[in-house]
Amino acid sequence: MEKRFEDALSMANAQGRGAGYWDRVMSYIAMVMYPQSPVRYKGMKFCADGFSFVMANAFVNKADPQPFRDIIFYQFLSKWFDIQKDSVTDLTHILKRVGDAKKAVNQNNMGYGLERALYVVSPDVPCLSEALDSYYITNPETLMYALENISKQPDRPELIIDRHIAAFLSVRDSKSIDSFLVELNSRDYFKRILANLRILSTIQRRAGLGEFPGLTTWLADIMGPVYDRYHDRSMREKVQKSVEKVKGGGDLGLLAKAIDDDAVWKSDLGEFKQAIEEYKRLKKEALSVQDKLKHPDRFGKEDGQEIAAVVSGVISGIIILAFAFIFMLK
Amino acid sequence: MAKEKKVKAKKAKKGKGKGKMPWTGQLVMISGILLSLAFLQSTILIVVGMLPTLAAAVVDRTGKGTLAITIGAMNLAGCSPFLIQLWMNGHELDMGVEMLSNPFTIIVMYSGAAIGYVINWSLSGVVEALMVKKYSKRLEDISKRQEELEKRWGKEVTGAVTLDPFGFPLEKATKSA
Repeated sequence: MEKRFEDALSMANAQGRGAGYWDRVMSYIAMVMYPQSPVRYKGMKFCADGFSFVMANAFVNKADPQPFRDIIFYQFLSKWFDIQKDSVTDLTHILKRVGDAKKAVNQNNMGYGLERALYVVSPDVPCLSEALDSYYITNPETLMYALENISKQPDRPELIIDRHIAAFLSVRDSKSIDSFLVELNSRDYFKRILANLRILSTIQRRAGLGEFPGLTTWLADIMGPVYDRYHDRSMREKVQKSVEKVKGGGDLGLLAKAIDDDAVWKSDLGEFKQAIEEYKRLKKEALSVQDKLKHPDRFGKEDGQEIAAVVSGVISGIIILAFAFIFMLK
Repeated sequence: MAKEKKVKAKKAKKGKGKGKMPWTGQLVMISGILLSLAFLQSTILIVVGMLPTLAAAVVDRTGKGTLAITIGAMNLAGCSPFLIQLWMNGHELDMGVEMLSNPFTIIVMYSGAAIGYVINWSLSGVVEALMVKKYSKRLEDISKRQEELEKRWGKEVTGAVTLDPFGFPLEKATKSA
């Protein structure tokens, strides 16, 4: 008994004596004292194979998810499994999922965090985004149809992909979102809008889905900050017109092409830099001309006198030749 | 100390050089004197006839001698009929003196110089006015083009706003959701 108690303490000490230390100590003591009992932590009790349901339930009921972070991060289930003397149900798949979830819990970016941990630990749980409260979304295709319905509601959110949708897609259909996660987490708002568009158009293309006119209109309506990323005001208008043309069509790929053409971005930036140079040059020239105009006698008179010398030289030459010719004829 | 000495030596050298004419110059001067002595009749006529040019060269403040050239060219044109006449009629000293004693000759020769002065005065005035007009127009064009650039590319193009590496105002670069 004493040894078990010491084991529990050493387990807790090995993970540091920071926040939640005593909660962990209590949980480990309960485990070693009575190994057949469920895991106990901060008022919760659950068996290892029920962990995913408990976690999903906590998210559905909007309970504090912090204890789940501790359970996953400190690998409570693995420790509970290690101290079982009798053989228990095969829980390796659960332990593996919780181990995979550990990588995500300490990251705050979209696509990671506890939301990702939830979808990794519970492969059957639907997307629990608040925006999708009235829907049961189990795959990216149904998500698209749900979003199409939401797009027609007046209280639709501004951005489409939230933390839950990002984590859900990243776990269930990583190819449609993972390459856009950096943009999705960008500090620049326009990049996040573009990431939304790219992710949804990728799902539409990959799944070979039909048209989503509501979704394209929703995305087109929030493109303001993206237009502002074009330096050229006339280009902004041109792109806006192209977007207006395709927004009712429901093809997200066409919408992406209309607003997010790499060649157009590059030429816009290149021409903007040239315009800055031209403006600088003009400014310099204007200063020099203004300076000249302050003293017109300096440059106008000098040039005039030079021209007068040439003109006078030519006239004189003609006169001398004419006199010479006249005298020769005489 | 050594540097000062070197500078002084250089200055002394420069001073010496200033007074000394190169041999080509000396040759031209000697040839000129010999020629003017050989053609004394023409020399007298030219020296008297070209007095206004000499005056113009003295008062010329352009630094390039353009006033003297303008007046000199027309002055020479004014002298040319008398010079040719002198050469065509045996190049006699008496004839040269006779020409110079005739007021008409002096009037014609000096009138040439006066015309040269008028050319200089009028053309420099005209060119000055034209240049002012040209530069005023250029200033207008510059201002117009700058307005066009600002209209197309925004205030960012003026350089008055601090920009991020992508060319956007720093304070507008980010917006939180």
